[in-house]
Amino acid sequence: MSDTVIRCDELTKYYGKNRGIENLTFEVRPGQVYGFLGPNGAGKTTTIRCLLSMLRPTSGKAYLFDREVSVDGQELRHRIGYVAGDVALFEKQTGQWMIDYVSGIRGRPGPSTKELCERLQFDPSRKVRELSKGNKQKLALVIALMHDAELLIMDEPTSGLDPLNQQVVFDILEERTSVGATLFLSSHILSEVERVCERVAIIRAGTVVAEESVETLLDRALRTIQVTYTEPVADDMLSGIPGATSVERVGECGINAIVASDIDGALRRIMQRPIKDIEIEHATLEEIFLEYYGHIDGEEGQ
Amino acid sequence: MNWTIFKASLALRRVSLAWYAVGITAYGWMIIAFFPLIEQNPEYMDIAEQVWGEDLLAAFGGAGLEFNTLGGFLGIEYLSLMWILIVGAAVIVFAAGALGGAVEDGTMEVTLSQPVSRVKVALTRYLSMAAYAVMLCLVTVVSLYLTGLLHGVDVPLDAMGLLFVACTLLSLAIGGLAFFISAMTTGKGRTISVSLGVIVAMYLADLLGNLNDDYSWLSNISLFHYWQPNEVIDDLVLASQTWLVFGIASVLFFAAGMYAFLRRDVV
Repeated sequence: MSDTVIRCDELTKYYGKNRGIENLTFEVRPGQVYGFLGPNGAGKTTTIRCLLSMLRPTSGKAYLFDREVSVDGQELRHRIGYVAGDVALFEKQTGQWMIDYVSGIRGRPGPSTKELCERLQFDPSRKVRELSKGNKQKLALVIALMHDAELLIMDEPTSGLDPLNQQVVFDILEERTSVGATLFLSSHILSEVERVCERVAIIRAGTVVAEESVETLLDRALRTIQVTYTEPVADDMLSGIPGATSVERVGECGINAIVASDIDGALRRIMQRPIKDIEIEHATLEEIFLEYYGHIDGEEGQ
Repeated sequence: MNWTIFKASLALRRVSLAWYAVGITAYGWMIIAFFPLIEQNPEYMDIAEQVWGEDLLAAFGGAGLEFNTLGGFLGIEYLSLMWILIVGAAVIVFAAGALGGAVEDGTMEVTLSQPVSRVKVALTRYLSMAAYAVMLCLVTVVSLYLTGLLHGVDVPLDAMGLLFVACTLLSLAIGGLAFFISAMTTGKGRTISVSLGVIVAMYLADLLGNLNDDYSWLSNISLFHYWQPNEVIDDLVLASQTWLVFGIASVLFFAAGMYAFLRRDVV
């Protein structure tokens, strides 16, 4: 068994003078559910395309199942199911034609094809150009999952899907990982990653700026707390909230607080006065970046 | 080679193949239908020379050709220009979609994310283009032969056999050029425009070389200088330099295209 399923060593890709990724180093272990987080343009898709040998790295190396992708790419792709971030299909053909095309190249029909079509409520008899964005995404998912691959590389897999189908997709992914598949999930949606991933790498400006467990990330993540009290807020409430990075008054009876840590302590303090309404939200990924890694304009963060 | 990709490449172009075949058949039929009239009236050749002049005829490869032979007539009226336009366009568009076009529309990513090597994909796409060209060349000679029977024109089978070989060699040379350009570029339109630019430049080089002795060397760098369908049909001769030039061009363009495709980014 391989020690690592994915390994990047100082992987660098430049498009001419423009940076794609730079000195990217991380590894994914067998059976892991690994999130690859970053805003658009951070280099997530470039990394995946290097892993699949579609892009030739400028320097550094990429390995799948401990074998170099530039050497053994064809054989390694037998073990991979891939959903591209920007799904492209043969527009004039039917979904079934696409399924047969991929099965033909792989040399065998996908054992899970029928089940996946049923669960995703996808009709493969329709022409691709007649499909909505969501249905094209379903087709891409069927193609990626139908051969029960050991490694699933998913670049924004729920893009264009409604919440019900997103749920189905995550159910399927959870089933696959529960029987040993490794999932590499690229996304800019924190809630998606939070739901399924054990470990995440955060990529910014082409470089991994943090790699940690989801638990740690969420512990460090910001929350926005909006509180409406039953009576006007005294000035002393605006100070002394543990872990708050900013607190502001909203009208006479409300406050907005951004809490970076110690959510328990912050809530205890806030709830010392009678509350009419309270709303707690996870910060967006961008807000986490801004808080922990500096602004997303290329400045170095903490 | 990968059979799934081979069959899919041809299936994706089956409608265009049918339309090109209809075009070739219709045009060839029209020319064959005209031929008995020209054959029985040799004075038309004198009229043509008076109207166009020897220089202009020479420029378009008609110097020394006799309109009233099948090879001469087919050569000047069909195979030296219109046939090249139809079949050249067909193979260029095919090659453009095979690599550069597939990279542009994202279908190359679908294919190459599967367990198949770039070498196999490029080789298979080239072979499917070659099969497409062979089918069009077959339609060319079969339609000439059958419409000849219909109009009482003696179209020798052996001449058609040799013409099929010559047509295939030329179309592979043009297709190889487009394959090479397609392997280096992203986008179907870019491949088509660059390939057509090179083909038109070669045609003009041949034209200028035929018009002016000072520039006769230009003809030698043009594929069209070696394209003599009249000799193939009338004399059953496919010159060794034609074999060599078209054959070498096909192999070199194919090899250069493979090399370029293996080194490039494919998204």
